[in-house]
Amino acid sequence: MVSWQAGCVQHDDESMLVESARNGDSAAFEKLYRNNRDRIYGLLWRICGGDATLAEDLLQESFIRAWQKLDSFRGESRFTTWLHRLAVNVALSDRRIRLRRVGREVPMDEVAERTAIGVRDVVADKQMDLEKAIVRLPERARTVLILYDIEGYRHAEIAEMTGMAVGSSKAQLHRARKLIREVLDS
Amino acid sequence: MKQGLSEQELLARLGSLPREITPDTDAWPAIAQRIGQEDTPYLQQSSSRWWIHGVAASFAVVLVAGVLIGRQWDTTPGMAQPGFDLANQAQAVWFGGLAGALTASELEYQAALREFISVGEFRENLPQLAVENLTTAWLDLSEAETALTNALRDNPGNSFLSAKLLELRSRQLDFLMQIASLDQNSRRTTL
Repeated sequence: MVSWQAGCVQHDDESMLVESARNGDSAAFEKLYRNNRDRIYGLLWRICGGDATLAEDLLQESFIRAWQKLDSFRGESRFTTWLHRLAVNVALSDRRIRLRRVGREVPMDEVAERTAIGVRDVVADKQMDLEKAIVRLPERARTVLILYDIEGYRHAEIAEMTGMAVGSSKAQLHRARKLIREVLDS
Repeated sequence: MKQGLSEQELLARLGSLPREITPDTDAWPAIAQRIGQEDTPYLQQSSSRWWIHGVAASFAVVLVAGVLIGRQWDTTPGMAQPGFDLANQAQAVWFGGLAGALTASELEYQAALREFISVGEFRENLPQLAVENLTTAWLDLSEAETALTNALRDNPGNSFLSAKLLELRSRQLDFLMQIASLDQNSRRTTL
């Protein structure tokens, strides 16, 4: 019962903050940022393959885009859900990630090496090998794995966001899990 | 023999990964600065689209001037006098060619529009701002089209307006081809 009430209060607070921010109240928008920053950054950091600098850029871009598009938020879903989806779209449409996807689909030792420090910084030892394995996944396989297994999106939603077919999304997930198991078993 | 990680174990480990990660630097100061600069975000979008409005405005000026000149030309008594037969014949030949070009252009435009509608379903692959800018540009062209076709309805056979419609169709065709190209590139980079 407590969590239900807490959830309602949180939702009401969020609605009020969104309404204030929509009217130009940047302090309200800052609260929305503070409430959602770590969740959105966690998502972006993984999609960026542990590239902290790129993830921070995209975090900033996501909130700027959210501010610009607040008028289009109609309250049909939670603000956090809307923001999460927007951040995924920002990340997937980012040119730097697209270039990497097109140009370097093969496993990226260079990227893995560059991001390994970031992984060590943010992940507990117990899960570090798993995060490293995710970072080393090919771009599309990683994106699908993150969105499906970690963030809980459905294949149809992933297909819509990434522009790939539902069957491709399922195939990439299968591939990602297989590659991770191979890395962790080795 | 070493036992491999099962699917269930992997899913459990993936599920236990932290959803929240705190960034090293706080992005709020930069965000606050940027949203402060664009307190009314649409102003920034408008300034980035100045050229579209410029083109639309120039086109509107040319269109109005064309309508006025066209009316004057068609109603000038001297133009219908026998001394101008040669000019009228030349004009008739020129207009005949123009009408043919216009018909061909219309067919090409309709074909391109059908193709655009079929590939346009993938527009979510384009950045939102690009979609908004392209939509506005297309609406501007459509407004010009409406104004031009209305003027032609009032002045059927007006060669100047017909030539302008031909130009407009050319612009719309270019636009559709660019969209199709963008869309194809977008799909290539996401597939």
